[in-house]
Amino acid sequence: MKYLLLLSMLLPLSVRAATLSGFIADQSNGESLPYANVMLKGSDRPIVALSNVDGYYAIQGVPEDIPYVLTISYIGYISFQDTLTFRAGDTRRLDVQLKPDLIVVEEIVVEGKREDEEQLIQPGFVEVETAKIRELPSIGETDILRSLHLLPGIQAASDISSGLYIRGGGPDQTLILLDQMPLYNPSHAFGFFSTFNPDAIRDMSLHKGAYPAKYGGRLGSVLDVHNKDGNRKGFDASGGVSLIAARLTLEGPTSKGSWMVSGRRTYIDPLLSFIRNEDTDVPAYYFYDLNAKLNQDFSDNDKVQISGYFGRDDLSFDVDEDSFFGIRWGNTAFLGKWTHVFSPALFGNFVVAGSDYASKIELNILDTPILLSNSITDFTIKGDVDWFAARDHAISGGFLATRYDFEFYQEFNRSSQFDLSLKPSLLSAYVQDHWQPGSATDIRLGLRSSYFSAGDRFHVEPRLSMSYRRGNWRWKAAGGSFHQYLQLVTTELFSGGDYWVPLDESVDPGRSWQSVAGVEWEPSERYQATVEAYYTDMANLIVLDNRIAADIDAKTVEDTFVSGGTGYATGVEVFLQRRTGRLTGWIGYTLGWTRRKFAELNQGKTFPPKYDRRHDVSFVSNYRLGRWSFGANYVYGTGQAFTPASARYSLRSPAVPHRQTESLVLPSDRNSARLLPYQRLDLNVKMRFRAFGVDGEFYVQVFNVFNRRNEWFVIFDESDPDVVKMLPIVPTLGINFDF
Amino acid sequence: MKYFVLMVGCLIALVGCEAERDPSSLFGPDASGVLVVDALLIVDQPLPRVLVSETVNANVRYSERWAGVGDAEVVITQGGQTFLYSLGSSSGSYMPPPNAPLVVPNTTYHLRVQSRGREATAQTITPGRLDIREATLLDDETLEVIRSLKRYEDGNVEENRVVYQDGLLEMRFDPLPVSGYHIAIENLDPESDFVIYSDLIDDEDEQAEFERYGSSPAFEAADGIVRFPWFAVAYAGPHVIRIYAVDKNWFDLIRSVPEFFQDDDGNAFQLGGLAGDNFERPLFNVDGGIGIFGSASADSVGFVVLPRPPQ
Repeated sequence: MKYLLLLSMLLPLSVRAATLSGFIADQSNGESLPYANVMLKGSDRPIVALSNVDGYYAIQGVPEDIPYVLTISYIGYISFQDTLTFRAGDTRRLDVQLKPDLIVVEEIVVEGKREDEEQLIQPGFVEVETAKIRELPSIGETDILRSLHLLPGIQAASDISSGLYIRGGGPDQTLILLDQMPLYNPSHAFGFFSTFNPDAIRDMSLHKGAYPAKYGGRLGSVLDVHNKDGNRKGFDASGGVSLIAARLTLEGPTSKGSWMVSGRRTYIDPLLSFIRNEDTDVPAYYFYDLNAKLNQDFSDNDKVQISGYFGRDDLSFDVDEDSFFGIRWGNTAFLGKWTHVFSPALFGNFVVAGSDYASKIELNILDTPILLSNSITDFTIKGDVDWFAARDHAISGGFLATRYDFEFYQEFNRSSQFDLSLKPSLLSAYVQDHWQPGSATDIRLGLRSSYFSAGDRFHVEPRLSMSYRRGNWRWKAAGGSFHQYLQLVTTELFSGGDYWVPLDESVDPGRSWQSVAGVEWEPSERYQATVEAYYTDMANLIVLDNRIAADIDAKTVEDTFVSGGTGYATGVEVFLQRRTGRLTGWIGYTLGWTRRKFAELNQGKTFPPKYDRRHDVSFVSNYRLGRWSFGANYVYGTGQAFTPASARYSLRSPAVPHRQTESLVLPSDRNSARLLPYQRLDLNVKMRFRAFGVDGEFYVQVFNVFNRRNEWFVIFDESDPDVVKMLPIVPTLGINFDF
Repeated sequence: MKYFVLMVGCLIALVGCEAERDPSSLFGPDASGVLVVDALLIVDQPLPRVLVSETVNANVRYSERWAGVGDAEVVITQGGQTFLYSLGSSSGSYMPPPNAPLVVPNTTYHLRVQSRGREATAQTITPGRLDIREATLLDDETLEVIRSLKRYEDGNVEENRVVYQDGLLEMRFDPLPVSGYHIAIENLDPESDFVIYSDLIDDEDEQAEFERYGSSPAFEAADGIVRFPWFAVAYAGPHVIRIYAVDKNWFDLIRSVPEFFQDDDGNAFQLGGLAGDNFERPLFNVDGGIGIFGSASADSVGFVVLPRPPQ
């Protein structure tokens, strides 16, 4: 009973007050607009709210008989304004469609009074506009993940990797969701490209750290990508042709909904087969991906969505009858979602989803067959509810139940060496109160609990974020506890063989405590400056043991991993952004440190992981001039850590007859030296045109304009060491169209 | 537009400043002068030669001649017996006393090496005797036994003649309580013909890079079964396969020194940066120095490889 009393004190909801709710969407295509600002301004202090990820908003407890000016705004769109007066007990439904403001994008800046507006002031949160990413110079194809490398706090492992190294964490520490479906290996071409087709993406949000209670299962960060729902206003076709792949996206309306299909495929394989002949051995390779989505509104309060993703990479190399090499990997994911507005103040999403990642490597080396296969399949049921409980409280809650199926199989020379099947389950629930005690203060207090059946683990994770704004300044802080029950085994050279391992009773699951604090200054809609400091403490880290026997009969995770690692990551990020006008872009800077310590590695001494980066600078700019646009990216980073040699010695190879002597190199402390600093400048030029009724865009882009051969890694052998370099200059061109 | 041009101009100037790599910066703090010991005891074999050398600066090309330590005191002890080694014909090579007994199984041996104030010590426990119980040729599709091979003494008999890539050689033994196994192959006829027919290896230079011997990575072989991969065979003629049941020191060394598995060119290499975390100090199990003082028991099978008949 006392809890009910406490709740009633927290929620001073007047039954006489009115409620305003509705969906916010883009007028041009009907796509929902997440995190749009909703403000009611009357004689009292303004009432502000944000739309959720589905574009739904609700304001409870609006006092009666006061004329309000309702303003709904979203950057890049013309604000909606109306004058409203509410009667006692009114439940007003107002679905609003905002018109894209092309003028703002071109030149004119609306200098609005930003201080009253509500924004998602979650520290470390970045909402990335797909349109902005498409403006950036890229290598071959626009790539969502590669573009994120240009944000402060996010690094790339190399020029050929699209993996995300966020705030001192490895790629396995970031949860990557596509329409709420986890993708376990979001890469094509051995990590060179991500699986995300930019034509199909509506928006994406990135929590670089201290993410909210809604998410879980990773020590570091969350990338939440949403595909387009499809154009509700009319048929639309868009696509493009680059030197690497061709893309086509079709979308259109249904009677009460929309659909979208987007596909992409490389066409390097016909070129390779053209080169291949009796004298020239050339491997065959292709990748493709397909996104599809169907939305149907069964009423104003019931929407159903079905979406799916299917992607594959296939490489094969038939050398002769005794020798061949083949690798296939890919993700498959599906989702069915029911969105229901139970009442103006109660919004829910219920999801049935599945995701599968599988890779299979087959080799035959001089009649010696080798087979490595692994897969992870999950089936998930989840529900998320937003309860706009009161004017000052929005409570979110949800549950998730996932059943995993991991399969690992390894065969060498027709002998099964490893055959393991694991089927753990994960149960999670969370609750979060978004509390606005005053117009300037915003608090999100959350709690997430998880049970993982492998090892019988149960954890409760508190999450907290706070922000306070005064004028154009916003101060923010966040923190939380996080656990990770799955471990990725990866090599940056070859992501096709990546696999995930559930952590069993032999090792404790990874644990991190994260804290973030920052300040944001937004003098106008055009400029924004953010400074954030972060500290993450990590424990129970594990890494693959490179010293296991070739045919190890592993029964537990402990048998194949080095466990019990600790570490930390800390740093400061500065982000200066110019968001509108002819010239847009940003400057990002990160000062960071990250360290790891394992009793069994580096003789127990602390060491920096290779992605420890002291200084990281990115400069991104785009200039529009009529139908032309010019882009430039510049990246500077402290050289990556590597292990240097400290001496040479020799030993006789133990089992080799006559004990052949090997000249060997003795490593120094792990990652105790640095490669040369990384620098790269990319440029692009785009020209828009219209021909035969089709809007098009022709582009030329040059990756690494100065052909600066950045260092990648060092090879030590009995002669002088060799430094292997990254990519040289890579010019590409292509064309995009939309009709 | 002028701001954009100005910014890009500044960036061009920045990227244009290319730093030069100082080769010495690829090396860490000098760890030269550390004692390196190298001795492997094989059960039922005489006490082995012990090589004593020292590490040299990483920035110079290695030479055994001047890395050898010629003034060391080398002693192996077993139970109450002490075997004082003497310097052999080459620098850093120490020979056991002439009356030293054979290495016995399931026994602890200690090594002590002293030189100019440096001392390296290690110990090994020899494994029990290994006995290859059965060597068979399997059908490589059905895995059914085609025939059993005779033991090594009869290596050149009809049963032990195997056509290259025709069938699968399997050896079975009773597993021993050891850390693991190490397998070696040796072609005994240096004049025998190359037998690999592959588009990957189509000229004599490439063929010449194939050694007539090789060894495996570390194996646990917990079921006592080893199937021999054909990619380890490059020449026709008589071969011998040796299986070593190895102690912890031997096992730790071969699983932590990637150089003992060579690349296609016969070169050993280690990656010191991004592409691999395997450039890690090996597991030496030597106090006061580095190297190997390990032991094993071994058994072998002989067979003759016949070239594939022309198609």
